Amino acid sequence: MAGQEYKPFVFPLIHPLPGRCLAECLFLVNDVNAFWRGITVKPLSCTITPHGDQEGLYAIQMFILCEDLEKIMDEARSLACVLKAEAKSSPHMKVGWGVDLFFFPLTIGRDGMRLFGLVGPFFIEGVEELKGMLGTATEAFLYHLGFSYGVKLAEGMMKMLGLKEGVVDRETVMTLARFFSDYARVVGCAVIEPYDLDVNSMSFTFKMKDCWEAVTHLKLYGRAESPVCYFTKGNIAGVASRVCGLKFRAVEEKCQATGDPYCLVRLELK
Amino acid sequence: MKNLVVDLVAQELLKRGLSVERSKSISGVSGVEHVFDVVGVKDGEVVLAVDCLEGLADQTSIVSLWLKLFDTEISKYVLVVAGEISSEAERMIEEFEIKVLSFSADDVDGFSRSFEELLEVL
Repeated sequence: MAGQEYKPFVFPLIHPLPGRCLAECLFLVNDVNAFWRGITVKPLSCTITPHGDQEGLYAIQMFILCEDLEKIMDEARSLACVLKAEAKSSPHMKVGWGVDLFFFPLTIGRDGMRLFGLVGPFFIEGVEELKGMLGTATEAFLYHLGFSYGVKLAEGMMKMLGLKEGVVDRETVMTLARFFSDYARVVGCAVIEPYDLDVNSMSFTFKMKDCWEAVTHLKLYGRAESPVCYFTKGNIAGVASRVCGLKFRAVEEKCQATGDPYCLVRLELK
Repeated sequence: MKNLVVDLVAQELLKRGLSVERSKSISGVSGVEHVFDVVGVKDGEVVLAVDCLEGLADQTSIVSLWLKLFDTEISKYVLVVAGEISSEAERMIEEFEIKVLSFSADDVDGFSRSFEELLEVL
């Protein structure tokens, strides 16, 4: 399960500390080391990101306890490296839900494309509710949505990596497979790794660990009778289809939701 | 009512030399198993699928049917409605180009004739 091999990333979107009063601070600094030397307050969590195009300028965002707010602001304002110091709070932060108020939106890629997040368990619960009306067609819809999204994702990845269309050699496929794996991991989709890639026979199998659909389904409804990762397997088929210029369909041969230690998605030519 | 429709459809398909399977499960591209009330089979291939909807045919039922067709890639399909069709569903049927026949137990012969005519143009 998630957490055994990897640390779940809950920050900076939300830092939960129920019952405590939290505040969010943002400091624009031109010397990160000098900043940390001058600050004695221990943040609950923190991110440091380059700020704008100006070299050497960083935004340090952190959640702290409200009781430390005055002290850290005083310390920061006394430092020459701090160009700007701001703090924010909101009613729910006062009761321990530290929601990021400084950064909007979250973006991905060089073009700054907006990343849109969904809360996995709520999404799956919504899907189950829809299944009550549309039946298993809901799962078919999820698969095809995942597929179409995968096609667009592949186009974006190829552009980002400067790969030419129609080039289907092992190196290109491996590069894209790994890039897709990294992306899938960052957005919380799954830890995907190539399991068996044979470009000559166009035989592709991917292993997925902790796929959001499988893990969420397992947590909400217990062990499933059949594989459940419709969106994700459609997504993989879509990416592969666009990259190879062929039409693949994805077959989920193993699924964590049915009790397997991981999911296994095999692509077959349609 | 559904059984009667399925029987009538099956008779017509058999007359045309097709073999018939009822409650036929077909696997879609997604891996989802979709069930059709009756299908006509030729040389092992499903050449026509028919479903019968009892009661009100509304938007939800049409969306569900369309997704089933999209996923299974069935190109020849007839929906028999033994009940009312909502105005929104009618618009969707037109948009999705789904062939629909109405069924009334009072006019079984009329239904058979309409189905026969539809098969001619499918």
